[in-house]
Amino acid sequence: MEVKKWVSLLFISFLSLPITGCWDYNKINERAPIIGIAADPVKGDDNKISFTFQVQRFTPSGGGKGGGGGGGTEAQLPTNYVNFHVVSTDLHTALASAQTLSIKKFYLGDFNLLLINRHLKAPQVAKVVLEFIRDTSSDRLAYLFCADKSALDILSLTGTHESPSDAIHDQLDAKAMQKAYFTRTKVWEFWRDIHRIGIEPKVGIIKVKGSTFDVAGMEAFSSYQPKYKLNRWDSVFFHLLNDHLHEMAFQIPDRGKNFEVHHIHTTSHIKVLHQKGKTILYDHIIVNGVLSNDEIDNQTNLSNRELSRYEQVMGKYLKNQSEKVLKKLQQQKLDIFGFGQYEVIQHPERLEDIQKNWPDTFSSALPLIKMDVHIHHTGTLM
Amino acid sequence: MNEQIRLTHIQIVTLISTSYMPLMFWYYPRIAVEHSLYDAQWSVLGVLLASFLMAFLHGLINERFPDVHAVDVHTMVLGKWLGKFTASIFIPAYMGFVATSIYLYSLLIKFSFPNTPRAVIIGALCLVAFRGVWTGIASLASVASIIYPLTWIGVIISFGMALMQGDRFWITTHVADWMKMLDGVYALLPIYLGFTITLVLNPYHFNKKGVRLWSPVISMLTANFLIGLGFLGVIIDIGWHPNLHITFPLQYILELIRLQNGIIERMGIMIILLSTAFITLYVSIHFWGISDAIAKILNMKESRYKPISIVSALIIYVTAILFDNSEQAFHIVKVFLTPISWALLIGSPLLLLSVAFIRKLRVTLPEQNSKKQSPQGE
Repeated sequence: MEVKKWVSLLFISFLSLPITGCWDYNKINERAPIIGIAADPVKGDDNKISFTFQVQRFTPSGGGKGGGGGGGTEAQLPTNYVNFHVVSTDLHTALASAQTLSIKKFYLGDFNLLLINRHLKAPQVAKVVLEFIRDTSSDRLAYLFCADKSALDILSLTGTHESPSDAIHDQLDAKAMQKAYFTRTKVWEFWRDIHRIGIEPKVGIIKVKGSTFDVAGMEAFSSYQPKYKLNRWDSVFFHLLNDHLHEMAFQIPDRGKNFEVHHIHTTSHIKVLHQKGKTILYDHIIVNGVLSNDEIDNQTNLSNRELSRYEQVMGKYLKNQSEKVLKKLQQQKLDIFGFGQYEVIQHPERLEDIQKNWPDTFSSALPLIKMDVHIHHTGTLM
Repeated sequence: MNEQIRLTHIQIVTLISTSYMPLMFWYYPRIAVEHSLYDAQWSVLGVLLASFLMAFLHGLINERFPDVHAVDVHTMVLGKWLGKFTASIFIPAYMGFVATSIYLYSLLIKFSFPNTPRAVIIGALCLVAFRGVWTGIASLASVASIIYPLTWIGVIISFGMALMQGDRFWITTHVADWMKMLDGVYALLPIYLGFTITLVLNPYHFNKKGVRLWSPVISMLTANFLIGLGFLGVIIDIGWHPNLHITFPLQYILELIRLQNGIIERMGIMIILLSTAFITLYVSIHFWGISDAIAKILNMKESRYKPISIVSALIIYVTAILFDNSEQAFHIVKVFLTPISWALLIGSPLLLLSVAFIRKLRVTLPEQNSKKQSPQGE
């Protein structure tokens, strides 16, 4: 019995030797979490990318030296974060270069935001995204956004109460944030849509606004190439067509006057139909909302007939606006909705044809939008 | 004496269930898409049906030869020498597929521990599994009855959540290419490699009518639910073509599950922890199964499986660390283990049953024996 005990003890001791912590243990205070990366083009050199790495400081500003080796610089900002600028051909070379400026080890596990300048070329975007997604330690749930002008400027903002990366991330994640004016794309979703058949990726746009930022509009991509910019209202109607709106409000023009509908919730179902040799992009949208103000400022109760007319007017207005956005994207041959994806899933035997010709088919297809609007009215009493 | 060890129905079902899946579980959606593209879901459905046939065949053998070890079934049906020869074919095949499973799992763990040498990860796993063998089949069964339900629930919750976060629930409604679909079915069967343990466990069943027949089928029902759900989760979240670029699609979507403000935000890591326990038990069961079968083939006492397990564990460890890269392991699964899985899982039981039926071979337990048997612990 005694021998058995000693053998067990020996076995347990031996087992503790190869435990994996011996090789992968990293002290938390020796880490430098990169929370945001900005990628900008370098003037006159398409092979190089200007990277900015935003790193969280655990102790508020002070220390650190400007400049440094590896062609990089450390920007001193009176905050709890620090930016490292490096010009390089790819992400990992840039990270290695930036590591010469920091004694703490960079890591991408707590990453929040990947910002790419919308003027980058497709191979540059591909390089950044693919390197990031292939890095097993990186957080693929980070958001991917396009910077309208300089991505560096956004990561250098001083008007946010925390680091720009954290501030943007928190705002995007906030439940109360109205998300209809842009689109939230995570890095893995962008990569997935690149590889899916019959859908092109789309990414939200961030702009500098004074000393802070504004998230509005979206960029439609053709594979890795930023191709077409949709403004904030285009984005609203894109969401109306593509997925849903939540707690939205519209002012609907009607015979020189307006009425307002709020608490709008919508759902949409897209499909592709074929009739008489023509391809039809069919979208059934259901809209529910509450009338907040009628054309005579709620002075008298609306009759059912009048309310029904409001529903028709609103349906027509939303349909026209949505059709405009759909047609703009058709002209650009950019199916960011996924009509092509629906088509290939319904007709997998036509995979090769869809893979090759879908942009043209999408461009020449007829849009057919069916809008069901339901307006609820509480009457004149508050 | 092993004759006195009787495992409960739940222990048998969980032991069987812990003896297959790890070889391909983390990447079978990619294999399905590689072979069948948009017919992948039909391939998965096809292999699920094939697996029920396989489970039923194994159940029929156990029911026809109650209390007889797999090796003895072979010798009874095919004769002493041919039976031993066919039974011994299983040994290198099983050693190969267990080593491949261990290697592929070490790749998965390397994502979380990139600096730890692969040989150390594999060594730690083999060491714990080897220690498990020495505790005996009764202890392994007790552990399986805890590990399997926990892993099952964890996988259901995780992949259920992954399914919920899909943007559109679009799946194909008809088969586009039957040949590609069947090719997918063929390529997916190795996920069940290890299922032959059902025959090795035959003497440990509690003798009650139907238990031997339905235990493997029930095991298959629970496992197939996971396989179906995992596949749907991957397809709804990632889609078809992106799968072709991911080494382990199931591990990939686990990374995408994050519970905001939860105690454990990254749910996926829980499954990795559970599956580590699962694969350790899986390796342990196979170390035991292989060693037990070798002892039987060599006409040794059953207790001699312990020293044999040292040799088999060492061979499997060395084979597992010999792999150079994942492509090599996937190639071995495709070229060697796929045809082997059809031969061992469907061909061999079909042959045994057919010959037993023609030769009218059957073992009938004495009525008394059946009444006196009681499950372990009762």
